[in-house]
Amino acid sequence: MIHAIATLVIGLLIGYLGQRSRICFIRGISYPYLMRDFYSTAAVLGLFIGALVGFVAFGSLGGYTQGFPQLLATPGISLRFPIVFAIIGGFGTGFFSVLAGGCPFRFHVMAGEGRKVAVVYLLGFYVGIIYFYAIVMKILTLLIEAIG
Amino acid sequence: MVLDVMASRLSAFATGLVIGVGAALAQAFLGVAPPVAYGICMVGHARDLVAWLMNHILGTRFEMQPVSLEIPVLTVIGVLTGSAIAALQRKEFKSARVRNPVVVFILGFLIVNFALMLGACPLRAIVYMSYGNIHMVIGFLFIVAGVITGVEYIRRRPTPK
Repeated sequence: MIHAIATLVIGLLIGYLGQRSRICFIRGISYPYLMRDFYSTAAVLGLFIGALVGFVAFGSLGGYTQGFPQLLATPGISLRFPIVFAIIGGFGTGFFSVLAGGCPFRFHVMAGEGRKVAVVYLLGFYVGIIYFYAIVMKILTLLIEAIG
Repeated sequence: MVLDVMASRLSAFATGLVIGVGAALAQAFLGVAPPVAYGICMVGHARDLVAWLMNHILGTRFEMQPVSLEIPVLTVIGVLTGSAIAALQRKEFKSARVRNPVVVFILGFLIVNFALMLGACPLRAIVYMSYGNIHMVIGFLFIVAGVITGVEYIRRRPTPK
């Protein structure tokens, strides 16, 4: 129960902050390259440092941080498929997110602002989740079984 | 309002910090685990919510992360609401016409499928990297590669006007 309330409250907070700051984790990568704009890049850096400091600090206070830091003990590091999925999934996410103009977090924030373009994006996004379950995941599972 | 004062002074870096610490806190003390580094994820948490609703309403058997089995994570609802509150406060509600709704719909559709394959949205990929996950370091490098390819594509494509 606590995790549902926690995610709702954290979601409210980061949604609020996301609207005020307009940060986007794809623009943090694309804007420096596109137009020497490093505004959102600071958010990418802050996110990485904040999470790192958080995991170290909360871990030392007895919080749940199992296996941290993973590094060479990353689960499934010897398997082929997680790496293939990381490569294809990562590239596709980056490529199409640039065309869309933002990361999924940014589009959720923009939908909250009432922007129709973001609402249309989220329609595709949520239909896409169902499609992933119905089709893509089955194909991927068959692939893993066939090739191992 | 406290949030208002806080937000007006927050830079992009500080906002990133707050989100990162929030993700770590959610996992460490607020029970948003397993899996690890799953405190905040705009793709995984959206998937869990959809799967939970589908399973309970339509009786499907969509897989989801262990944390969401009984009660789902509600991050996406929080973000939508939090952003709406901020926009209402500042009267920043925007409503412009969408030029290419079909293209935007397809992009959202494609992005979520690739991100689910990766197992993370860009936000979680960064949090997972700070957890030391090697797969996600590779995944993030390829997000960067995809972004650069996308920028080059945009630069080169003929602009229909």
